[in-house]
Amino acid sequence: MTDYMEYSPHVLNALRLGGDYEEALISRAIWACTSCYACTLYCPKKIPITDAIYTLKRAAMQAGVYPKHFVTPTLVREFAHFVHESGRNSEAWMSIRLYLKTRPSQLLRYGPLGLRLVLRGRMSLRRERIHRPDELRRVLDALEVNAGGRP
Amino acid sequence: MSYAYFPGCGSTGTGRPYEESLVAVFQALGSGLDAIDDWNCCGATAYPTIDPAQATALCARNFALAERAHPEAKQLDVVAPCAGCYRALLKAEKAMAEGGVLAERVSNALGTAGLSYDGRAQPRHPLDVLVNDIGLEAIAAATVRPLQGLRVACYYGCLLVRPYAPFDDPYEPTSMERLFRAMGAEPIDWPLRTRCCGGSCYCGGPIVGALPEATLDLSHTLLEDAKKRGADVVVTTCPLCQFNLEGFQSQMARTFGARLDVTVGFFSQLLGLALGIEDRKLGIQRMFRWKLPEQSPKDHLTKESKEKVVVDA
Repeated sequence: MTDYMEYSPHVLNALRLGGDYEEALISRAIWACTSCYACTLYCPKKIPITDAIYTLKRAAMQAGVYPKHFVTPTLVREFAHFVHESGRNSEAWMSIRLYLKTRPSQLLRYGPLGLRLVLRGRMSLRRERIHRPDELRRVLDALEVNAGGRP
Repeated sequence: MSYAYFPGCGSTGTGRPYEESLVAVFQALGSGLDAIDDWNCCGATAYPTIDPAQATALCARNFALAERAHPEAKQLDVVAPCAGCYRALLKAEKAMAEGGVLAERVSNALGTAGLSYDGRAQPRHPLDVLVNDIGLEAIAAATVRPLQGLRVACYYGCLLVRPYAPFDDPYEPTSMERLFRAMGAEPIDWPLRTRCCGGSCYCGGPIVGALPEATLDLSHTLLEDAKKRGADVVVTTCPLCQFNLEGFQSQMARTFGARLDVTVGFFSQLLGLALGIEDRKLGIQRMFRWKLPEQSPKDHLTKESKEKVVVDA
């Protein structure tokens, strides 16, 4: 994946620590990271670089400085929305919502593939829910930054 | 023996044949999988971007529920088949075991909902359970339709062995090769077996991914190389890798020219076939493409008698 990054993972980490933090924050490289953990495993000093890139992604989202045509930040928000609302993710509904919010024209393009999955029983249109979403929300909310969860 | 089971959100969707085949295989080998009551999403690779403590708490609630259902168990194995779920659960388990501020915050948050995780629940991957608990000897003994000569490309992908690999080598994993060799197959030598296919939840595959062209390129490289090395089938341990490698082959043909037509399934489906389980119970009919080379009984005989001659000599 590093072929698609303008800064390789260890350079991103160096930028974050002492080089140019803002440059790392606005890079497209952090959004090209698939969190495959190859950088963490192969680092001779065992630096958790993947986690460092997660930190950068989070900071970029909070600062609202990510590249607008990248869908990943929206994907992250949609993912969190589903988990917070129903405790589980529904592949079909998440894809549909994501398309509507980012690239509605792609719904037509990938519609046939979705239909093939539905026909083979590999895409459920049922919205998956846990029985006690309130219980899960209570746990998550207790860890919210503004809920006094931070030490 | 019965294991606590974490199905993961993909189990009702793209990963449905994975679950079906695993349940059938465990049953055939005399083990059971009991889903954790009211299990929730593990947070996958997406939630850590929102907040690392909340991502840990998502997994910890599942552990807490599993422990509450088994108050007597000293250690509780939670089987998680999706490599992404498995990695998320492992990460959370390690963070909680390390202690420190994050673990304390998560414990307190669980406490607000009357839950607690005391560390008895541990994530296990079914490949680990099959190879190391049930054992290759028992599996070889239960094999009724040997995969004689089948050239299997064992795809580990990223998250099964990275960054943690409690049951295998993170650089050169061999569990799947040993498993399929025990059933008579001939796993191919495939250095790319731990290379990312680009289909992680994060990237989202070519459908929702940030860089669809990158994803397609990565998966095409993998399949082309597997084919070049003579693979009859590629098997995976993750619903996202599986769908990413199987579902976009027409698009690869349009982008890169030649059609690859590679069969990509779940490792548990192939294992199930060798155990003599019928196709429908393994979700074979749900695959877009499933074509394995015909094995003629005559060939087997010739091969076996040849081997016998060698042994006799």
